[in-house]
Amino acid sequence: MAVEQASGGAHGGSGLDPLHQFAIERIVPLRIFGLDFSFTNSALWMTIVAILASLLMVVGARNRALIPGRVQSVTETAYEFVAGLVRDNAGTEGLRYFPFIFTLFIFILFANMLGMIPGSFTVTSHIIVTFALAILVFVVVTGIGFAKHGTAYLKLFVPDGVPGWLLPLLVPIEVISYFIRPFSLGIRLFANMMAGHMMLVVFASFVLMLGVVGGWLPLIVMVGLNALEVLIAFLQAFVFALLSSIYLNDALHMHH
Amino acid sequence: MAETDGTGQDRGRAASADEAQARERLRAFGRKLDAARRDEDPGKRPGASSSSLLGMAFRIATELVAGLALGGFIGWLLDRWLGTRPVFLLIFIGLGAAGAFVNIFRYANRMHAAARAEADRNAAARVPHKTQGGE
Repeated sequence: MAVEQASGGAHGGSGLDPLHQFAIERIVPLRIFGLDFSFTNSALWMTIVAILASLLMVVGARNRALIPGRVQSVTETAYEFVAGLVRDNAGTEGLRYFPFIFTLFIFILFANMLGMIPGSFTVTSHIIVTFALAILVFVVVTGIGFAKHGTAYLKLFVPDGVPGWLLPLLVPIEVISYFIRPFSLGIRLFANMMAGHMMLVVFASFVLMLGVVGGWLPLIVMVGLNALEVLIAFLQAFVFALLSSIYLNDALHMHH
Repeated sequence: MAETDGTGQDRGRAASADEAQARERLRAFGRKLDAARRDEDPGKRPGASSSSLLGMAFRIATELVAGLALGGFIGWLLDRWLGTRPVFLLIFIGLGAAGAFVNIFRYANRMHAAARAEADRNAAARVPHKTQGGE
């Protein structure tokens, strides 16, 4: 029944539109000073992510039982996981910025995981969202670097033990490699989430096209892909937090 | 567990000598914990799984893409501004690729160091196990 309806909606056997799921829809149109401030489906899901993440943390931290219950042990596991990550990669000094990394990790993890629910909207599949997060990390880390080292932080761009005549070539490369960080951080998360979700829809359209006879094979593949996507959803949140703490380490300790 | 926690808190509120003692006990416990972790089966250690290898592969690929994209974008902007197409585009694509390689190289170095440290730790942990097994 559902298969018939869905394939009826597709155009000329071309299957579903894999990009339709990323469409931004205005839920509450709003214009202020000629700028579009509409409350969109993306904003709605960001709000849901923030509320659910906060709820888990508040409920998990409410009882503070010595022997944790289910929710508390989830919260504690997440806390210890990220705390270990920050300690291993940015040192004990980096733990001062643990709340920042933890917030990033939980937000991205929840956004990715909620995106796995059929019919939901994956916030992190839009490059503007992931890039905004990456720029936030970049600005905060650079700010910490300058606050801690002053203008000496610029020495990060001058490798030691290099003959002077090579510096005009190496300093621009160092500067560019520093500015690549927010781009690679943002592109990685966005590309992984978008590619995965597109692949799911493409395989789903194979199921619809091949019907009851041949549709079982892509259906089996889809089950596997779904499992892979859950793994990637976690992995990308982890990688984002990991790289943020590695960059933090560079800003705090200034050696490569 | 509950008992030690309670007494630790009470001592913290008492004289500073007791506090130092409590801290020393905490530190001794930390050392014991570290030793226990080292003796643990290294195969079960988190982070050493294939999922982090997958993350690594993604990371290297996107680093290159981001480097080329950023270099190309800066070069294109400069060219449009100065009207010197395609001089800066070519220069900055080269710089972007070089910058990406620098990042990848550093990342590989870091991973190599981590893998070596891990191997050393495992080797150190294995030796006492073997002598125990022999006796």
